[in-house]
Amino acid sequence: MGAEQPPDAVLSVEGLTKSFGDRRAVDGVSFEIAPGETFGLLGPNGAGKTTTISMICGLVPPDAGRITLCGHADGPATPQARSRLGYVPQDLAIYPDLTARENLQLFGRLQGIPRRALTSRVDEVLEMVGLADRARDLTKEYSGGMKRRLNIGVGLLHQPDLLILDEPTVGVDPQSRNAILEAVDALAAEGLALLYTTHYMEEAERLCDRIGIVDQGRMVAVGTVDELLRITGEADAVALSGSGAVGAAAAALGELDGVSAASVDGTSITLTVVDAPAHLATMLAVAAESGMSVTDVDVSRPDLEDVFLHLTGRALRD
Amino acid sequence: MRAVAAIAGTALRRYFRDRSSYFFVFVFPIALILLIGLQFGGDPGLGEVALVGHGPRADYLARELRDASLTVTPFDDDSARELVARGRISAVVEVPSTGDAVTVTPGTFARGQAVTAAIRQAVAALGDRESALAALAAAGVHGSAAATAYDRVDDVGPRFVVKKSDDPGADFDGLGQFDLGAAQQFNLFVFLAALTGAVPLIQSRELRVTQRELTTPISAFQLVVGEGLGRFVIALIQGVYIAAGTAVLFGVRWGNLLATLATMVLFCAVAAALGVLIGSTFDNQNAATGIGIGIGLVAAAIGGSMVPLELFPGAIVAVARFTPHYWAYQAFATIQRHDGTVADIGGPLLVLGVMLVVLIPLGATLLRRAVTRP
Ligand SMILES: Nc1ncnc2c1ncn2[C@@H]1O[C@H](COP(=O)(O)OP(=O)(O)O)[C@@H](O)[C@H]1O
Ligand SMILES: [Mg+2]
Repeated sequence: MGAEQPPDAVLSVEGLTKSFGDRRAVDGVSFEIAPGETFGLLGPNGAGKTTTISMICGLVPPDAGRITLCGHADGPATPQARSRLGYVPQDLAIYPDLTARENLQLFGRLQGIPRRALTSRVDEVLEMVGLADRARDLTKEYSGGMKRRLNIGVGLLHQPDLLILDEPTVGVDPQSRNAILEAVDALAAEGLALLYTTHYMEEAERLCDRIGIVDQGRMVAVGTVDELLRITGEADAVALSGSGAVGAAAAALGELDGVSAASVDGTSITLTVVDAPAHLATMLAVAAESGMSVTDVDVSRPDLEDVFLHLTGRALRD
Repeated sequence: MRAVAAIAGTALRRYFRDRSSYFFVFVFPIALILLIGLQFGGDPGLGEVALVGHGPRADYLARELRDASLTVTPFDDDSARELVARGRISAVVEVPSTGDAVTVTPGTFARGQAVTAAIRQAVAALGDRESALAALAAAGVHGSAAATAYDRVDDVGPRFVVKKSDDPGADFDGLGQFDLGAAQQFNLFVFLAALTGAVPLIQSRELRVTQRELTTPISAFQLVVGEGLGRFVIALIQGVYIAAGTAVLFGVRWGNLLATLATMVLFCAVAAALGVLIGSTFDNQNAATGIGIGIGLVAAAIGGSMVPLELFPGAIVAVARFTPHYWAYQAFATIQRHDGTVADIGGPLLVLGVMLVVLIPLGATLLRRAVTRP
């Protein structure tokens, strides 16, 4: 794996291992993140996501493995390497008895942002996380969502090359959750490299360019969503319903490349298709040619939940 | 440096954001100021004795006692004994008008022994005088002529002063009204207060802010110095406030300003560093507070902040050397008893400095270990 990693990877992790007593929390995890890439670590509680991140951030010393962080071969050991890193921990890590501005100023100073630049940068971040009008309030008076946003803001303050977000939506109401996802989307669109952990497969699917699936400390699969979905070997199910020559259409569709089965049930056809989205246009054209007018199309694809089940024999969420 | 200042500044800001902090820094020490001031402030004499008795013998003895820098208050009855028992005065001296024995009831303080020694000397002078007058009377010189003659001789003759090296009182030589007691209480209080600085660090760890701070470019060492610095400033404010309050309001003499300040600074720094060390070691705030108070009281006791070190057997003094209290006590003793300056307390200051240099990296190591715990 080391050979194929791009030389300019923002983060490269190889064989990372950590045990707590007898329990192996992280077991030989390897992956890398390219600049601008959003990489997800998807796995259930206790999979080892936070421990992996703690090692990348230098909070927990690994038992084995190598971390290369923004070109720094000894990982987070040096201040220079750590200054390229933005860390948004799973738990809130802000002072409740300080204001948003005071929290940001503290971390801005620790990040070594020059005094003159700091004030305007703090304003920028407050604006970015939508807290500008509440900047002078103690954070203990904030709603859960506001605290989460400030928590992310602290990680962004020093314009890192890699932002690490550890389950940033856990315990957040749906509205705030959506706001956070949109903010993360926007950061990714700006070209910031992200390491995003979650146990929600929808979040991983929505946000991440590539996903590593982790379970019991091990990385069981890594790839794009499509690559991961292919692992199951399960094809998509496509249901076409409409009127006209349904039987003729089913026969014609069954002959198409990628379609492995076609069955008719009254006015609807059910097809088993590998990579349905790629064949959808052709399928509709063939149906129309055969004299069927399609009124409804339903594609159901296997999701990461199915992938996790396939790989581990257990459900992602218990 | 800027990172250290940011952490220290934040610690102070958070501390003073809580209103009760003003009570602990500015109001609560007033009680201590009063306590120290009333006990150790005022006229720098050896103490107060109650003199029960009338007549020329009593007058003579009163004069001698005053010469020995004791405050003498005449008493008519033996209610004076009760005052001694309660520790309000140092001794009661009862002088019968005729040749019977003078009786002394000393107080229970360590200083009572020094007072007794002074009284013994005064009574001996009275005895010498009465023997001499009796001899003069036998030789035919009577009355006021004899007394005048004796007192004139007494003024020019050599005085015999006994100083025993194992007399605890001898160690207190040069001390006014036992001002060192103020330093002892200062050490006890400031140290205890600084050890409670463990709590905000544990809080920061529970809030996970400490962990997050350690993912920034700063080191655990800088973090510990910053947290300690915040606590140190609070301790020093308390300390200077107490010292200034007792000096201004009650005339407690702290001695050379620079030397006193240097001792306070190093002592407060060691206390703050130990507070941060405890905050790096324990995960539970109550446990840390309990341990802090325990350490604070034990160290104060064996370090001479409760009973003067001079009264301790050698074995305890050997152990006492491991407490910062011992060295601060040595420094304060030199400053106050012998008009010491910074140059005279180099030894104790150095030891306190070494303690600081050991405690801070140890705290950083323990903090690093603490943040990997779940
Ligand atoms: N500091 C620690 N001490 C002991 N065990 C730990 C510690 N941190 C994590 N663990 C254990 O390691 C495993 C992985 O935990 P974690 O990395 O927090 O998983 P995740 O973030 O994926 O939920 C869990 O079994 C957890 O109990
Ligand atoms: Mg976690």
